Amino acid sequence: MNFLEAQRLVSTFQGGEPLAFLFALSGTAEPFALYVRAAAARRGRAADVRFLPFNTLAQALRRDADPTVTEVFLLMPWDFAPEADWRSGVPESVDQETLEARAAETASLLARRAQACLLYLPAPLPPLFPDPSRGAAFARSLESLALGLGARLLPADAFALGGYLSSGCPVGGTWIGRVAEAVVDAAAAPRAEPKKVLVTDLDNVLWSGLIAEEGPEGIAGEPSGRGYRHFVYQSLLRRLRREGTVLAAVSRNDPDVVVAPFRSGRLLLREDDFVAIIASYHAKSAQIGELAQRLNLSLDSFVFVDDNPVEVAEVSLALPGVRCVTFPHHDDELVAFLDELASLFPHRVITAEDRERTDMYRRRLDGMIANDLQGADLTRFLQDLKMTLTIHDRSRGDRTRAVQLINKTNQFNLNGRRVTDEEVCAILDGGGRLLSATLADRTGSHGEVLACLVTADNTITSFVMSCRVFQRRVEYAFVSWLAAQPNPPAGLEWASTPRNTPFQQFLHEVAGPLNGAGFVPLDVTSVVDRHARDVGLFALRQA
Amino acid sequence: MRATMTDAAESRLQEIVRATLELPPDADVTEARQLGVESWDSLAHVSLMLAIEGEFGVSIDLADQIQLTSYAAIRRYLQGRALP
Repeated sequence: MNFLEAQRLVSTFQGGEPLAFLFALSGTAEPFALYVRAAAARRGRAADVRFLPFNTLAQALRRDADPTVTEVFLLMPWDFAPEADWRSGVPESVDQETLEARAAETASLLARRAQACLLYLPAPLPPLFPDPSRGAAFARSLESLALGLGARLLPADAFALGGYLSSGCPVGGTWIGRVAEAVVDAAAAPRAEPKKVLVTDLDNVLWSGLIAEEGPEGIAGEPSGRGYRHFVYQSLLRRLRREGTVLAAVSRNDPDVVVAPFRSGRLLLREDDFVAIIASYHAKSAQIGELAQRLNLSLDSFVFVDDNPVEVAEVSLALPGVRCVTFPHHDDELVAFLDELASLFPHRVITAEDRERTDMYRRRLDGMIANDLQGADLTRFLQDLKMTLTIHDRSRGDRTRAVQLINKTNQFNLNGRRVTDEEVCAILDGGGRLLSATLADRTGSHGEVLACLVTADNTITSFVMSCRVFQRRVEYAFVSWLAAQPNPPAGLEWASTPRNTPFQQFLHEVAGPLNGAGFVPLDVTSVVDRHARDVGLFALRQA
Repeated sequence: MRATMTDAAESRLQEIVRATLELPPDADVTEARQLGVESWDSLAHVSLMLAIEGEFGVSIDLADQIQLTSYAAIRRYLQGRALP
């Protein structure tokens, strides 16, 4: 943008949303005024820009920032090291340590202005040192300081020595329009408040594996093998916690199950690194909402990490203010994931209060959060998944996976009963049926996720489903389908186990209130009617 | 060989001088001199030099900037440069 174009933009601008900000630089800023107004007008904004008086940036940095004022700093190398200012000529001699200390002091003053937008113009330095390589290294160190503060680098070519010497304006005429655009972009960028709370899932996120299925010994979170990537994630969380990020965990599990790994000492993180470890079978959105309320923190300050896209969708739909980040399934996505996560919790300075924040918030909580909480309606999200549920009759042929599923599943398990292949064979020989289901969606196949053993007298004696597909309504669609078949099941042999709360909730919904262990009758007409909507979520096939 | 200034370039120059010095539409900018134009102060001079640099894609040395105190001097200076 050159002068005449800027002039035209400003003179024809009809007005727009005000964009008020302080443009701070140590040189002469007034020549920027027209270009800044033009750049704002191009973005439909009416710039209301204020400048610092010439050469007063150092003083301004020593005053507290006004939180109501947006500040954009255009920093030059001599703002960090005044001896490098061309307008003072080449110093007779310099002490590098003094220069570096002064630069660090300026950096710390800038770091205190957490909301300031920084631009850095890496103008060439005068020859400060007898050894030119030291000068180059020093210039780089200043650039690093600026980058470390989150400054955006401008092209060094934007600096014009002639203009700077004559007027104090460091940017030449061929660049001033472009620099003004960068200034306006910085001023207009939404102020992303740093997040405060990181809520993490546990299974296959904080550690590899499913704690309820594989037990504390079956999961991995150490720096080796399949646990390595989870160890790296834990190490980032440890750093964030030290910097003042409040950590919490939510998991579809039983409370006593999920704390075991923390108490085993095998994880990098300890139980008291978390403000709360919430283990229940309620919707995660409801648990996060409850946590926010009790911590008295805005949901906008929350980040939620989970590997399960259904959980991520549920939280996104119910709590749009929460930033949801999916834990990657592949190692090559890990770098970008960690980078994104770290960038959500930027800290220019760490205070003692930051380090104690988790303890402070933990005192506000008085235990686990578990009550009757409702989640989001996931119907549209599940429809978009284009799920296909294929029912397999495993009464004949290979039934290895179905039997294996019955014997390894803990949470969604009708009664926890383990069966041998011989026992299954006897039930099938007596006229029983073994059914299983595979699930696929637009992201790929989830494999064989459900198994159901029905005796000749139409009693379901085993019914299990992998917890990987919780919340997709697979179990409801399956039982509805089964209830609509010829010879539908008359009931189920239910028994409570220390781990099968999810099944209990399902059964309560499908068959009504439970009265202890034993045979639970199934009203098939009611099941078919009530869960037709769940069946509609799937393309249902029979293999 | 000295480059010449096209009518279009001269028209742009006149527009820049008029705008940066906030001269009235009927003022003859070709006669403008720093000593005779009240608004041509040091800050306006900086803006004028930056505008010329940006508009004509040139970088004006400090020594030249000090000499460019009239429309005629600026025109002569630009005539001596290969303009885009």
